[in-house]
Amino acid sequence: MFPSVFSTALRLTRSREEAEDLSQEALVRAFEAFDRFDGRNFKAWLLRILTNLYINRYRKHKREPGQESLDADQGIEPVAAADGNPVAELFDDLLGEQVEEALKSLPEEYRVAVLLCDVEGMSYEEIAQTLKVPIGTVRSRLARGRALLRQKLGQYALSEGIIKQADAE
Amino acid sequence: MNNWLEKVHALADGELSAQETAEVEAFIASSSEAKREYEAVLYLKRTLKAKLPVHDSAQLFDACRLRLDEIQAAQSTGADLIIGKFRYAFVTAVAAVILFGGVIARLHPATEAALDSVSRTLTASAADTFGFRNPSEDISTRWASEQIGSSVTAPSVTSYGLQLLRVDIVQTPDSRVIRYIYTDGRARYALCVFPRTCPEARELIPENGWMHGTNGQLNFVGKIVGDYVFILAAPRPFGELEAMLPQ
Repeated sequence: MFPSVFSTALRLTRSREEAEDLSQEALVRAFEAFDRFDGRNFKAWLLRILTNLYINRYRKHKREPGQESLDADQGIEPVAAADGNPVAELFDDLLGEQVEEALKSLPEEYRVAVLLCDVEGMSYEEIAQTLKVPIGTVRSRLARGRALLRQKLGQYALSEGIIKQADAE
Repeated sequence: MNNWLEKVHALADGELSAQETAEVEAFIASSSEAKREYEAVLYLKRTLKAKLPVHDSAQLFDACRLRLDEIQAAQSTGADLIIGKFRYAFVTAVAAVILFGGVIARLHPATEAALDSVSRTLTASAADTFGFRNPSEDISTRWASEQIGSSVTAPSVTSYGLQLLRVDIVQTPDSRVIRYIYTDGRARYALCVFPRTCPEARELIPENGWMHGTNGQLNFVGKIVGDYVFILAAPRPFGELEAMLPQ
């Protein structure tokens, strides 16, 4: 479980040093607050502590002035390619590091939602509680985040020569 | 269908009710665009799970464990410190019972090295143990059952005036053992629960009777109950320990 906590911290902070601090701090918080754990999903509880710490402490210092929430943006793009080509062709030849980089390049609100849902397997309700947003916001962040991630993966695949220009769009 | 993209994603995430699932599946069946999107989302999820590397964190985990030990030591009461001093004897004794060492040591004193070896094995296992602290036996048992993937019915030892300190999952070489730690305010009690199917349990404890053992100040009683073997250890008389387990 700890590798998962550390990997999540690394993907949240995008810095090994900060990820080490964050995961260590999360474990200490969890240890001190263990009496309040309800006994259901320990991993989700620990990840909630980790994500809350990140949001409250680390992100506060990092958010650039004037940076607004992306939730108000219009429109959600599909993940599937417009030309009907299967995504398998795009994803299969990508390396883990490239997928990691594409995930890290997502705007934070989308990155956190995709990370918690698709990588850590948290439910919409758990993500909504963690991020203190409505479930509808979780849904739209996931749909937008995945579409954007697919675009980024397409760009990596294009730059690596895995696919041609038309396939990346 | 309104917001069909979000609904298709929610279907891929298993987040729709039965009725919504039926509606969205019908929509997917009627729309090649929705079908492609559904398959693309599933593929993207699989790709993330399969390809993202797990980052090495062993050194960091060791550092965290040290820090937690320091915190725990700082928070410990006098009674806890006494329990801490007792820890090695406890681990040795439980290792002895679970891994035959105690029996062998009594029969053949020359095998103390073997006892020491199995004690070290369990000490190492215990070091990797992840514990759960909740005074409720029900909640703790539910947590432990989830960890071992099997529903356990543990005896209610707190009804004998003991306080539950924590429950651990200990990975021994052959099985996952649930270990409850109790205190009566003076001494520490350990209740180990392991599956009846594990070879140590089958050979160590008679089918219809009690197993008794002693290691230093600790007395042990063990019994097979249903699908599990219970071993209760404490510096108390055998009869008192037997009374706490199902008869």
